[in-house]
Amino acid sequence: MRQLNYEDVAVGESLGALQLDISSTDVIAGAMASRDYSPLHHDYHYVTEEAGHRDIFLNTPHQAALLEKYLSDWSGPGGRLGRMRFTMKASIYAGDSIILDGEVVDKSVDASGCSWLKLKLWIEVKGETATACEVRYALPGKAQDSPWKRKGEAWQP
Amino acid sequence: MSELPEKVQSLIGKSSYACDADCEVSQSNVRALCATVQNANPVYWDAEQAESIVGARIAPTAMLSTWGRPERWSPTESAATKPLQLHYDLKELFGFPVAIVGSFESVFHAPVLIGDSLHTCQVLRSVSEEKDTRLGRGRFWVIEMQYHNQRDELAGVDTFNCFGYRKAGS
Repeated sequence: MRQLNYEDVAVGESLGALQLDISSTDVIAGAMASRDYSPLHHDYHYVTEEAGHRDIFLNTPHQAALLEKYLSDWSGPGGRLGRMRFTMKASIYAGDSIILDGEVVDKSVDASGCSWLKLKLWIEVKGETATACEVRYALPGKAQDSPWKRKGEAWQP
Repeated sequence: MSELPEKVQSLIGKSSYACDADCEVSQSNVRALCATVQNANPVYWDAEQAESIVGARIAPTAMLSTWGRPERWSPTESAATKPLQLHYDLKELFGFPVAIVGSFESVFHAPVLIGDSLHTCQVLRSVSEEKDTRLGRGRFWVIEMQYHNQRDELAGVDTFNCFGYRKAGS
């Protein structure tokens, strides 16, 4: 895996689009791995006959995991999440084809020397944003600074 | 102006549903979720790389809420607590037929290590007056879910922005 550093990234840069197909197995596997046993994420009869949905749909931790994978693929393993703010606009159903996309909105170095990016990410279904996410993300900075080695006052997410 | 019931007022700022997680942070759950989303980050697949890059074997950061969820059944609890139980309590206290989470924010502090066991609590931060929206008339409330590890380090905080309401026209 490549590793991006703070100096490699420019404000306005696109993270690149990633297309994925979501199967019923994906929805159920993600819910079970995140210990979410709500029938909304595994019981087709319940969601279609009682809950008013057209199919089972991704739970929130699964969507967060998709976005974390997307970020990690882009930056390399040295990147570290500090903060994620989600707005869910529409459900993502089994059978949907999704596109994860994002861009760099801002970058700054805090008082402790930690190098931060402000990112805007989103998940699209059929050209519409289903989930929008604002992220504060740390990348390795100068002198081999690693976000993962930071703690206490040196980690201000 | 609609005043808050005393019972709701007394909940604001107080820690509720303090709970020791009944599961340890598990490599098998981590692998299962990484496999589902095809996350190839070597930190989650290779112990040596995890040690080199992070200094320990960890769970993906965004899995935080996974480690605070109760089991479906327990031999010692008569009724399972729902995740974010305070949200359902407020829905009940106000008598709203519907309550949703509109948005939420997660802030991540100490990394969650494989084998950690987290302690959670829920704090009601605010409740609004009744307001009319396109969904119906209701109240907004903000709940924090705090996660600490067994070393008493703050692992993270989820903040949920919720809305309980009666559908317009009902």
